[in-house]
Amino acid sequence: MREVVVIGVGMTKFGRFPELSPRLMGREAVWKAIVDAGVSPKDVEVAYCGNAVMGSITGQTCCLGQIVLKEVGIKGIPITNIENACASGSSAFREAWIAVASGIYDLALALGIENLTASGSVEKTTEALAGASDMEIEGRLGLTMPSIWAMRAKRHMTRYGTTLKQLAMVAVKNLKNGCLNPNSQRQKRVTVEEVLSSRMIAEPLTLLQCSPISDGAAAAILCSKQKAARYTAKPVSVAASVLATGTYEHKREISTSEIEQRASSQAFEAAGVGPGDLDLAEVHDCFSIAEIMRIENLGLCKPGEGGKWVEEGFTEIGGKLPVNPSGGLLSKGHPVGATGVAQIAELVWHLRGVAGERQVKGAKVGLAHCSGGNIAGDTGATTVNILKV
Amino acid sequence: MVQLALSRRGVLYAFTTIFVASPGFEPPYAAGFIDLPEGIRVFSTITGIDPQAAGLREGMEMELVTYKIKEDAEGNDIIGYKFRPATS
Repeated sequence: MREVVVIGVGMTKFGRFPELSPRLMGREAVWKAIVDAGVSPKDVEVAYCGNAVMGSITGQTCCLGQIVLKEVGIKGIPITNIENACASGSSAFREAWIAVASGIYDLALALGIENLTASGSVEKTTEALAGASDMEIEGRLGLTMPSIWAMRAKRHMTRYGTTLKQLAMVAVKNLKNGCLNPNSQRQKRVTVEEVLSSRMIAEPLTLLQCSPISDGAAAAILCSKQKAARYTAKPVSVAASVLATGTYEHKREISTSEIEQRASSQAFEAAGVGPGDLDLAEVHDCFSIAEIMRIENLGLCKPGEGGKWVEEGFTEIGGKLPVNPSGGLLSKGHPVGATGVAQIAELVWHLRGVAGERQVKGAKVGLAHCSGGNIAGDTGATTVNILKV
Repeated sequence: MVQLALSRRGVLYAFTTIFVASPGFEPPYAAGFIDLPEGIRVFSTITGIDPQAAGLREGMEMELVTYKIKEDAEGNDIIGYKFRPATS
């Protein structure tokens, strides 16, 4: 396996764009990555397009990658469409990494794209997203994604005494960070009181504790380390790219994730670093409780300490370990397929030192985590990517 | 593989009240996971209580009932299972 680097990234602003054609949205992200990388579209040898529910929302069930990429003149090459629920984009990134690391290709593109607002209603989008659960025995019986997270939150509160205030503080932190991110959907600071008194979605998770329904796209271009020098003086190395799925046992504790623990251990081992070596982490905060649980599951803090970590300010941009300096999903929004690739873009910007007002000073090692789907109370797929300069 | 008739009673492991739902459901409604003695955990909506009245607790005894889940697009009743707090 040879070393692979990221040479270009790009993303659109995330937000509500129900009338924006997905091909134009995807084109914008891909073109930004192409320009950032300094490559020509013809240099791309293989491409992966991550998307979760466009088929349910717009009817475009097939060949989304091909439709978007031909808009920028990327045609004829192997293009694969990837779905792993919320980990679709990061899984596409991982496939691009494998394609180059294996030596089969020198230059690969990963695109993540989603449009959730074109469904026309929150209920229809809720139903589409419930498709990430086990439809036969959960989704069709009334499970929604916010509800499984609400149950995880309550179990976490029962086990560890995590408080509503700590949940709200995740949202307060991430929305504050999002105000420094021009691509973020939410651009307003909020207080704990405002978070807790916003509309109830699934008890105890209120609207501001849920990532907004959002549209957007992000892209990354990966290259072999040897070839990268002709394109960039600031390559960002992919030190680890892990994908794990679950053991799906019954009766496990849902306030923790066996998959995330396993995926992060594998990633740290592959990268040759530990949690203490990280300068920043982009962690899949689909809901407030998700960030708290995930900093525990990923080994960034001890089990049960996630609430305390956010309360003590350890995860602020200037803190012990900045988590979601981008504003996370809570602020940026969660265009499902795009999220994983947007996290990669954020890490790349910090590691290059160009993240502007959000910049984590001296960032050298970053972790991006995504988990998608709900199966037997754990996720369907978990990715952990570690990037280094 | 053994075919087994599962118990109709179990213990409530986790629950919530859902306020925003898929089309055809009528929020707010309670839902949760029920642990059956055979080692199986089942998702179910929960009936027999006011979903907003905070009447559920982890560890509560629950029992299975059959119930109309929702109507399909043609107006036919879709019958499934729900759980309610055990009455005896």
